[in-house]
This record gives sequence, structure tokens and C-alpha cells, in this order.
Amino acid sequence: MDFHVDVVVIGSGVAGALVASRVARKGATVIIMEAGPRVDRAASVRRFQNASAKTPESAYEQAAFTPHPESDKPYAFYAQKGPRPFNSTYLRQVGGTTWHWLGTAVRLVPADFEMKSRFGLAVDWPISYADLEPWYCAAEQQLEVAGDNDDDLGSPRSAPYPFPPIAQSFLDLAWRDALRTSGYKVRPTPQARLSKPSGDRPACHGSASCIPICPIQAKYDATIHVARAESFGARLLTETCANFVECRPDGRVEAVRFVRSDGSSGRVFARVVVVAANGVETPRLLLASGSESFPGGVANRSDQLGRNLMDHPIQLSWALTRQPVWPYRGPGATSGIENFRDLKDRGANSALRFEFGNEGWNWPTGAPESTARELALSGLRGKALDTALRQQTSRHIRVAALTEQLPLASNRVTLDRSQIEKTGLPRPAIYFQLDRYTDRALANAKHLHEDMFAKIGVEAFWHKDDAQGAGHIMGTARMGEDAATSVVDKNLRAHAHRNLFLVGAAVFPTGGTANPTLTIAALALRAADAVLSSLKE
Amino acid sequence: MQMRAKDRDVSRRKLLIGCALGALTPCIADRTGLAEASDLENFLRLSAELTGRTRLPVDSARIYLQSLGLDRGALRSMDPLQDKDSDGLARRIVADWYSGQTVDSGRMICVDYTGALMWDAIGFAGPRGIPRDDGAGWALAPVVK
Repeated sequence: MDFHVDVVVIGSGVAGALVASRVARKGATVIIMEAGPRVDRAASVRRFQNASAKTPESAYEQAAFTPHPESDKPYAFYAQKGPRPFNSTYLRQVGGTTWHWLGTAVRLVPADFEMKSRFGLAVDWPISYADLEPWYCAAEQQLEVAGDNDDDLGSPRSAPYPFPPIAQSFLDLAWRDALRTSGYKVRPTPQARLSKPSGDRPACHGSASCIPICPIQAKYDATIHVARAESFGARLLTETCANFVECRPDGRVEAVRFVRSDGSSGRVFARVVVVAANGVETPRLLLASGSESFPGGVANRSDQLGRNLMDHPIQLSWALTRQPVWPYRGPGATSGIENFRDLKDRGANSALRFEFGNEGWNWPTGAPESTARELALSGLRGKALDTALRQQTSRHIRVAALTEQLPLASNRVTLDRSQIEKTGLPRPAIYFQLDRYTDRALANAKHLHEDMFAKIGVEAFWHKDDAQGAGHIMGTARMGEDAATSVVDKNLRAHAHRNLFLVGAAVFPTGGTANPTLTIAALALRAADAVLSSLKE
Repeated sequence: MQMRAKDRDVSRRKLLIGCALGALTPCIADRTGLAEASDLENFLRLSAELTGRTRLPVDSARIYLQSLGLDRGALRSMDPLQDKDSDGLARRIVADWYSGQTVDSGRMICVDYTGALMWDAIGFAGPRGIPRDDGAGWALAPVVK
């Protein structure tokens, strides 16, 4: 079965959904091709609650046709080739990974775009913060971000947040008070979750399950813009996996081949092709599309496709406070420390973003279940057990430091052609390591966490020895001015393919320390205009 | 935030256990079924004694009991409340009911997340994935009675 449209968008996460919605609204014919199925929210909540390991993926069915990586099984999906496993994950389903994102919607700071010229590290972006700033505003409108206008968090703003801030948790306020006279500025986090109802979506009800799923869609997910695109006439093809991008020798992309879960296959002929399949799946598809004219894969004349894989490796630490802070309530995270993201010594030391979790020790230890078991197995029963359980869990805190990982050409996504998925795509192979810059950042974060713990007052604290994956998969199709050293230009158009656009965090030349979704959205909205312009060419 | 008061009324407890055991009636059709029902009955009685809770769901009890891997009838001769040798078993039973989890074939499984007894004990927080508070109550200290 073949289709002919103006634009085909591969992937229905936040980047693909925003592009599809914007382009369809202007009257273009659009197909959204999504490898995975639609998601039943209620069934997913039940699946999460019944899961023994409450991981970010635990709410979602593992599809035989399009499996996804799982954070507690790092070797099950990726072919791990490096000295350490890559443990950030994503989802292949309608709405993509926004189903299990936290909802944090912070901007990069201006210096993040100029790492080379300011600090002599990595590369500069081909656009500046000022170039992207209006698109950040647009993205905040689209994602209905709730934020505090009193503080720009180091990212100058030309418009207010569309929604008032989400209330900081009791726990946040304990941190704020404890750190008030220190150099740590505890600030409410801008979040793409509703602080008041909007349309048919309710305000946040504190379900405490942003990761992996908001039961009432108070947290933004990309199904909102998929639905909007469909209302503008876009056609969504689910369980339809693109597995080859056909190019003419002159570089023009002619069609995208696909296979469906029922075994059928076909092609979509489009005037413009937008690949929005995340930092692993985008290079995976394009590397698998090698041909006589493009033997290294589509959009890979620079040999940069798949390289420069970055995450925000996390130092995770947790502690038992002396006084109750009442965690396990509210959204996953409502405050952070942003003033370490823009320090002057980034040439030597990584920027850091500190995030306070409202979910107690759930991430590091699996509490409160683990605490309940531990206390019961110690012999406590009845009132003594109930009291101990309440007293312990009410004092659980954790802090996560997101570090900046510089792009390394050796950190990359390639293909393991010895293992072919049912979609026909080879399994993604990952080489991933941390350099000294990141190692130093993680060690520095431990010291700073201990300093913070001393200030808030704790009985004991612990650190994870290994860096945790942030789920922020960036860099594998970097943008740049020079076609010899990058994959896409500043409008996210592939250098050698005028009708091919790549959107998503894969295009980030560097990653800063901001959770990437808002920047993905801003870049996607900006690229949508370029897509529309190219339809006129 | 109101915490559920524990039911200390023995006669009421017996009545509720009796109701739960009523659900076992279909099992009591033959000798094997009778033995299983008897084990389950003993397990529920023991669980109620150990946890101080009477509304213990039979479906969960069946899984917790099975995960213990005890010989049939073994519970009849055990008194974990008095017998130090059975203390480990008692702790395990309490841990399962409180966490809503158990160990099955060497791995942890979830049996009843939302019904885990820990939520009543914790009081100030509840199971994740259930809308709880539309007034941003997470910004305030809970009122724990």
C-alpha cells in the first residue's frame, strides 16, 4: 500500500507531533508514521501499579513488533558495545516518550549555545539563545507551561509563562529554608503540567506518578498534538515502522518504506520527510538506509550521524532528614537549583542542575515498599511497625544532579546487523563512556549534595556509585553550519537532502543541563516553519 | 488527612475473617480442596493476628501463602506468635502484607500495590497513580491524626 502526501512525519513524540500539527494546520497533507500502538491510559496506570519494579517503562506494554529499551534491563534491547552500559530509555508508541517524562520544562541558558567560544569546549550551536527565545515562548504556550515569572532562571524571557506556577512541595520549602543563606537558590521548576484546568484537561491532582504516567493527563504529553494534527486532517498510521528512506542520487528523498505489525508493507511518497524518531531511532533508521549513492546511510556524508551521543549523567543521592518533610506527595519534582547551570568556570567544571524529588527514596531504593519490608523483616509489628514506617518515610529525601556531558565522537549509535528486529531494522548498538569532565562533575555533585544535606540536617545519607541515566538522548544528528562536521543545518534540514528534516534532541550540538523537552519543542516549532517554506520550493 | 483506625474488636475480626473464608466455599469440593482451604484459612487467621488487620483479601492471601512454599498443613502446627523458630516466617508474612509484594521463585513480584497495608500505616501519602489532591495540598504538612 502506498501513500502520497505533502509531508510525512516519522515519530509521534513531542517533536513530530508539534511539526505535524503546525504543518497540517496550514493545509498541508500529512501522514504521521508511528512505529508503536496507541496507548490506553487507564490500562497503563493499572499495569504500572501491578509492576514489581516501578520503572519509567513499567506502565507500557513491551511490543514484540517494536520493543523498547527498559532501564532495569540495559542489555535486553541495546547491543551494548562500550565500557559501561547506556541506560537511558525511550518509548515507541503514539505520543512517544512524553508518556513517561517528568514534565520539567526549563530552557537552556545563553552560554549553553556557545560552549566553544566562551569556554573552549565542544562546539557552538549555529543559532543563539536569542534566535531561539521566541520559539521557547511558543513552545511554552503549546505545552501550557506553568512557571514563576519572578525569576527567569538565567534564561531571559520576552513573554510570561502561560500558566501560574505549580505549588512547591512542603519538602521543597524545607530545602528552600535550609539553603536560604547559602549559594544554593531553590526555585520553583517550570513544568508542563496544568496549574489550572485547560480545555478538557484538569489541573494536577498530585497523583505522584508523573513518571511513568499521569492518570488524568494534567501533565502534557504529545498525544495532545497528535490529536490536534488529526483534527487538522493529518492521518496517523500506528504500528507502522519506517525502515528505509529512499533517496535519489541527487539527495532528494523520494519515499519512506514501512512495514506494519500485521506484516503488510508499503511506501509513503512525500514532498518533505521529517524524521522525529529520537536520538537512537533517528540515526538507526538513517544508518539502515544506506544505498549506492549514500553508502554510509542517509544524511551521513559527514560521518557524524549516530556520533556525539550525550545524556545528562546523574549523581543520585538520598538521605534521612531529622525532621519530617512529608514526601511521596505531589508531582514528581517541583523545585530545583538552577544557578549552578551558568557558572563562569565551565571550561574546567561542568554545569550542574539540581532537582529535588518529591517521591522520597523511590528512585534509589524502591521505597516505600522496600522500607515497609525492611522494618517488618526486622521484627516490628502492629503499632510499632506503623509508627516506624510513618516516621521513616516522612523523612525520605533525594536529590539528583544533572551533569553536562560533552560530545565525544566515539560515543555513538551504530547498527548491530547480526540482530534484526521484526520491523527489518537492525538492533541499535551503543558505545558509551564518560570522560573526565563528567566524572569530575559527578564527584563534585556528591560533595555539594553532602553540603546540602548538612544544611538541611540529616541522620544519614547515601550516594549511587554509578551515574544514572537521565533519559535525555541527545546529539546523534548534530546541527551545524559546516556540512563536513554536522548532519543538519540551523533549520534542521539535512545538509545533503533538501527535503529531509530531522527534529528532536538528536540535533543538539551540546546538551547544557536543561531537561531537553522544551528545547526540542522550540526547535521543532522553528523547523515547522522551514518545512512549510520548503513546500513552496 | 484522616488515618484509618485499626479494628481491635476481636469478635468483629472473627466475623470478617469468616466472611472472607466464605469466599473459599467453591474450593471445598474434595479432599484436596478441603486441605487447601484449611491452609488458607489458617494463613488468613495467622495474618490477621500478625498484622492486626481483619479485611485481608483472599486472592492476595493465596499468593502470599503459595510463595512461602510450605508443606500442606504446616501452618496448623506453627504458632509464630509464641514459637521463636517460626519468627522468621511471621516477619515474612507481615512484610508481604505491608509491602504488597512477595518473593516468588527468587524474584520480587507485586501482589497488591494499592491494597498494601503500608499505606494505612504511612497515612500522609497514598498509592501512586491515583489522583489525590486538587488543592496543591502537597505544599502543606499533612494533618495526621
